[in-house]
Amino acid sequence: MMADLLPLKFRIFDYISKVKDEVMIDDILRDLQNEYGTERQFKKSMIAYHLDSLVGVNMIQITTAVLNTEGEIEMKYKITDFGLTKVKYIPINMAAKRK
Amino acid sequence: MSTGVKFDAQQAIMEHRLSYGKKGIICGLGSGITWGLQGIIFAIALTMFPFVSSTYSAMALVIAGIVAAGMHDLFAGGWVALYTVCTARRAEFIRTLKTKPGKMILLCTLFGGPFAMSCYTVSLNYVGVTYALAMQALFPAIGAVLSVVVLKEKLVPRTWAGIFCVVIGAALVSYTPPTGDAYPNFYLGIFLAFIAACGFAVDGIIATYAMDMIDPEISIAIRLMWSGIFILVLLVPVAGIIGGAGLVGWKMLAGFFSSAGALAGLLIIAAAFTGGLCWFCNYKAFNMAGAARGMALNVTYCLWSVGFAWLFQKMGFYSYSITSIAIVGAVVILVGTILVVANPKELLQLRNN
Repeated sequence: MMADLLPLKFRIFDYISKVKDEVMIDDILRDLQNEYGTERQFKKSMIAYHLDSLVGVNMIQITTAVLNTEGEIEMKYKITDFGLTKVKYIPINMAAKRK
Repeated sequence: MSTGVKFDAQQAIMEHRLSYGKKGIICGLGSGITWGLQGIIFAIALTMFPFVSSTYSAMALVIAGIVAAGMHDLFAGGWVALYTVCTARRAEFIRTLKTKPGKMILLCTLFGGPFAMSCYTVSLNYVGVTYALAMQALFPAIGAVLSVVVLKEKLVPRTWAGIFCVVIGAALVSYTPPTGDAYPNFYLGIFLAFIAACGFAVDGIIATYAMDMIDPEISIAIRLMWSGIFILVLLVPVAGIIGGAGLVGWKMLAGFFSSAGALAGLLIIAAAFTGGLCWFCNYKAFNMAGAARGMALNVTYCLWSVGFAWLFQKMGFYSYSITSIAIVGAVVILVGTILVVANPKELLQLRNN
């Protein structure tokens, strides 16, 4: 079961590439819960780390920042044109099993 | 942040990204510092049995260097893997290896590990340490050119000047006066040293490309362990047989389990800890601050190694005397580093794509 999943960073990128709207960390935590929810690595700080890494190399971009109800800054992300060119690296067979 | 203060989203995004880029610069400098320390511990280990013995031939001494490099990579990879397991990412290894970027990491390992290191080791025999090290110092410059071509990284003229200074400074610090020995294969040796520098640079570029999509910490653990296994299982016996030294390398490995060789083994494990930390920081810097800056900051190890060598010499563990040319080289590296990192805002847009 675990071996059929994509690496978490890859899956986050895969997720953002398939979602039409902007994505926030809470969206990822909610929507990937079924796949990675049992793993200790699946937490806000690790997802934020992977998102920063993807932004750094222009695979995704930060579209805007908002203040949440606790007064913390949260970013919204979407895929870039460059990121779209990298979608081809997502293994189709692993994606099919995932669905 | 109080609700009464006007929130500037663009400012928040810029500060967030700048903070991330600056962490990349710190990682790059960290990779230089830890590699400087690793070099000293590694050099001390190499003076001990089973890496040296009065019974060894010249080729056996070359093999000893390869064995040490293989052990270093294997243990360094083990240390990084231990960290990733402690942070609950054990399952990520198999997942990563099933992806194309994961396989790219295996490929780039062969360039930077066995291939480049073999060329470098052979070049040492053909041209001596002076020219081999000077050529090796070229790798950030080669990496910078490749990063612009392959990764479309944006480098301003000041950053190019900084990389140039770091390369010159590294060559100066590494410089030792030629011994006057004749080298009949001099040009072949220079060529091989250059190929080794290209191998290290290609390693960094392919790894950076792959890490666009996969976790740098998982990547480096895979890279180091794969390199160590490849070197120890394949390169050591093949180099020994071709060089006429047979399986002396594997016999050296057995020597670590004797009381005479235990200390060298422990020092290699300690060097692998700092080496693993170096690669850990290095791959993160490639990803966070760009491959070109990451390589330039890594080469500052030449600067830090001067300090560590002086410290270990004072403690009586290491024989070292600082030369005036090394001081000049250290200053040139420092100037180059400042030029490379002078404007953090360049980290907001690393690439042209």
